[in-house]
Amino acid sequence: MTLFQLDPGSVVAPAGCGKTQTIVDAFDGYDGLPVLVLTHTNAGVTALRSRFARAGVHTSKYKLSTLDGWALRLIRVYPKLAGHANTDGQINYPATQDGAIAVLESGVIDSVLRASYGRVVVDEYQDCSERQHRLIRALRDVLDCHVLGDPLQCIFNFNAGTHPDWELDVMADFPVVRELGQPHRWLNAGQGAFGQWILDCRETLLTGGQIDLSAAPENVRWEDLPDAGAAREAAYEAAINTVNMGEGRGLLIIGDPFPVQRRLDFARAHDGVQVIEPVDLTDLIVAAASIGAAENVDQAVETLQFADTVMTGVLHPLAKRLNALLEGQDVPAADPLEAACIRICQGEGLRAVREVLERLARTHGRHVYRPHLVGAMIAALSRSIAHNIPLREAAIAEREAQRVKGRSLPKKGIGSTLLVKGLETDHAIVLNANTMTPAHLYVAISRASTSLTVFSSSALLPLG
Amino acid sequence: MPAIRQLDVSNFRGIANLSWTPGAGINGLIGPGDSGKSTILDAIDMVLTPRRTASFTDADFTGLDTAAEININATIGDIPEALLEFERYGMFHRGWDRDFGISDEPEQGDEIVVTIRLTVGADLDPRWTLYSERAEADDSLRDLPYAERVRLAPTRLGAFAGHHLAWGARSVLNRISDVRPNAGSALADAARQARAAFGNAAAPEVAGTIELVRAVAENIGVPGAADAEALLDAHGVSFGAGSIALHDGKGVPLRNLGIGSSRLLVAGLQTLAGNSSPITLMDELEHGLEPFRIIRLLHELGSKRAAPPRQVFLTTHSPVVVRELSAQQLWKVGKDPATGESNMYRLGRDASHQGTLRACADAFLAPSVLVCEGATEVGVIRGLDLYWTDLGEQAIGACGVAVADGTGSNMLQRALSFARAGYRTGLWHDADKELDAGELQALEDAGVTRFFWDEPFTTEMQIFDSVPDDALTPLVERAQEWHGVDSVNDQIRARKPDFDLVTASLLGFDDDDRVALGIAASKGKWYKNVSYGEIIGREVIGPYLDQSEGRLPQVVTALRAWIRNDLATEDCGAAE
Repeated sequence: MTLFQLDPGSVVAPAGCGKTQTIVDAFDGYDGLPVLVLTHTNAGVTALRSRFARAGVHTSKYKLSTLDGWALRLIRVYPKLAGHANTDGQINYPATQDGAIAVLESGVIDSVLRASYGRVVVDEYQDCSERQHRLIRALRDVLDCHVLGDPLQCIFNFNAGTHPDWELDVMADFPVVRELGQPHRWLNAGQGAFGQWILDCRETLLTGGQIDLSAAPENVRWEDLPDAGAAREAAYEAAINTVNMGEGRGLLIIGDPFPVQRRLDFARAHDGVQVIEPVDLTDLIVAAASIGAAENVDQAVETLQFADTVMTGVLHPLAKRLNALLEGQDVPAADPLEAACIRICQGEGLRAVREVLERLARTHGRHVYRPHLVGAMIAALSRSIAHNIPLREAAIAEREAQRVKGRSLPKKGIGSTLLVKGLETDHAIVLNANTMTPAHLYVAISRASTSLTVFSSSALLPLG
Repeated sequence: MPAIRQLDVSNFRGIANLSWTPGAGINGLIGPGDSGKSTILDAIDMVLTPRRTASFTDADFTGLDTAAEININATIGDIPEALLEFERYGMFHRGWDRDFGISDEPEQGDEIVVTIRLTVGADLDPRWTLYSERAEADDSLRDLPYAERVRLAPTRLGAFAGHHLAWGARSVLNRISDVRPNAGSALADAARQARAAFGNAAAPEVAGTIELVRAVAENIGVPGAADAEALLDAHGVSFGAGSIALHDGKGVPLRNLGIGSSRLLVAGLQTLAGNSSPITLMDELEHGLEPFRIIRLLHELGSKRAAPPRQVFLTTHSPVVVRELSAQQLWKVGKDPATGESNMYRLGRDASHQGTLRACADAFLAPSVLVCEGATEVGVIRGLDLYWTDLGEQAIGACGVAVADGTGSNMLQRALSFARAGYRTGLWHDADKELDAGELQALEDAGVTRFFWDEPFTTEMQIFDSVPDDALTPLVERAQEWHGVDSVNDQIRARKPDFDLVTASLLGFDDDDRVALGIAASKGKWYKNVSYGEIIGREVIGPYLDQSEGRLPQVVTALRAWIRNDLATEDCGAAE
């Protein structure tokens, strides 16, 4: 039976078991009013949209949105019922969600909901906050609702608010109607046994037990974590080089969530590894503010400092050359890159800044370990120049535009579990599993379809 | 079925400002000319038309003032499902409560409604949008898509209903079923056959011309025209779906039925039509129809149905319609002379209206009403009217005054009905039955002008008290003619045994005579019907008015002045 033929309720979806496909398949032969499909991130929306398109599901059969995006629209359309309006471009998400709940719980627009949507599907249900859960509950009272998620992938930011308890709250409101159990991601990669092992690990982790990485299929390698220092770095480098990276294959390196600098340093230190940036791109905004606010020589300095945070081996040689040229020393003439830097000093502004970054990215590509950030900054510069707006504002606009576009992973990328959850790849290396909770551990080991390397002080995880 | 819950019009032709909550079924609009009845139908037609081309001129703006925008808002309830859709129409969902009217957002217990707005500015460019305050503030006003507009489009049965009896674009025939006559190829064939049949039929008449054309063509070097012929132009013979029309069994187009029959037939078709339009507009419903068919038409439009099948807006000048519809279904359209604001008075507001409507239907169609206590008074004023018009003066009717019979006990209620409905109302009553203080206050509050005799006279007694001696004889003689000499004499002698008409005529009537005659005339009901009253009014009271004394000439003069007062306003004599 397809999803819509089941009673309304929840579907438990372990990693890689075809959750998205379950949603897509449900539309086969679906003939009613559009299905409201809600998920948490814009990237998730984009991903679902392309899956629907690939499967030939006509756009008229669904209305796809993030939960927050839908709530925003709801309160914009019925501001008085909501009792809250977002002003001055600032969005207060909790107030928005409360407003959306008020609109739905009033019952006034029940007829509107029934005339607009045939049913509701909510993806990544484990990521729902208390408020979002209440919102979906209110929708469930009017329309048939299916929610899909994995309680073992509940990992969040500090400031993400309270979350409902899966057993007590979610399952009470959405009884389980199906549990997915085929490790499709691994079957498709021809690694069925590996996938089944991960599923078995899941059972263990769910019941609070420990998994044994030393008694795992060939795909899994456990490495005893050396003490911090040269030995550890060497081990990491070796592990990266061991991975059999074929054409089109990807590697995810899962590092510590905090401090962020540690991951940045890792990328800087290991050739070919690039940073997976967080969605809010704080570093971009901050850098854009600094560069945009500065002028002349200061602006050149800010630009080069930014360059230094995203690529290696650039700053010192270039700084020396610039100093010499500016002082009028008898040195070889400036090449185009240096000439552009000088033009920043002379006040040409953002056009010159952009030229510098573009040239650097082109000539030093190998050493750029935060390519996403560079690309975003160059795009922000173009936006700022084209629309004549401050660079910081342009950076924010660029960030917002990227939320929707979705992005591609670097071939060898480093991120935290928070950043990589939901992503899939071929190979994964976990840098340090010592402090991981069961949920973080499960997210970490379930990313890759072909090989998994885990560094920790014991093969039995989570550590007691 | 969708229906208009509220209509707001400003600056459109004669309507400076109107905010109206019509009924769900039939809305019959009555009112003097220039009150705006037809303008209201036009406003509804314009705001809900599916077409997006309309030409406006300065004359469409109230007072020709193009600085103030024309605005017509129709707020629709029982909206089609499609308009409940959140993503497209959520911003336009408004709330409707019968008592509180429109809220910009739906609230608890409200019906969800949408407002369609038509705006025309000084550029004369009409703009249609869905409207809500928050959508306007958000700058997201947009129009209804065509398919939805067609679903809401009203059917106008105006002066011409002929197009509904053919299959043109906007015919009701298209809504009866989804089948369109597949005329395409048949029509093209017919056109070809017509051309073929015509062939060279024109040839003989134009032979000479053809010769010339051929000669010139050859001469001047236009070989293509050397063989010119006269045939039916392909353009001249082209038929569209509108060319297919209904005909009776003998081939006469149904369009020739006459306007009344055509509209009656179309109204009946409307009822059948599966996806018929939810709103019908009808100008002068009674046009071309006998009373029994007027009633038939009203029934067809749903006048007697508890749950109205559609919303109807009609204008009428017919007492048949006024009598047939219930007070709830009738609206008097008026304009406040001071503010220029239009107002709609629902005649069903007052329970007393129903009875008055049935009895005095005609009077509701005039701007001013003179309620008379009884048949005598009605007759007398009509007789006076005839007398005065014979002298070349303006008739009561030309002054916009209708006369209504209060049939004695109903006069108070009727006068109040008219006055509260906004009619300029006068009440002419005897003084013998005293109205109590409460009743007098009610009349004064309602603005009714009263005309009455001295206590305790009836009209008959007042007449005999006031007219000169010369008038008395003809009055008695007429009574004798109508009721019999003996009967009349008995009635007189019951009060004054020794009365003799001949003697009195020669020697003069004294006060006792007059009193006796007055009482006899009252009790004997000598003039108590409209015809008799009319005769004495025209033949006696009118001519002898100048020689009369006391209250009679006073009151009659006052009545005349009240009637004529209409001459000062626009209503009198205005063509409708």
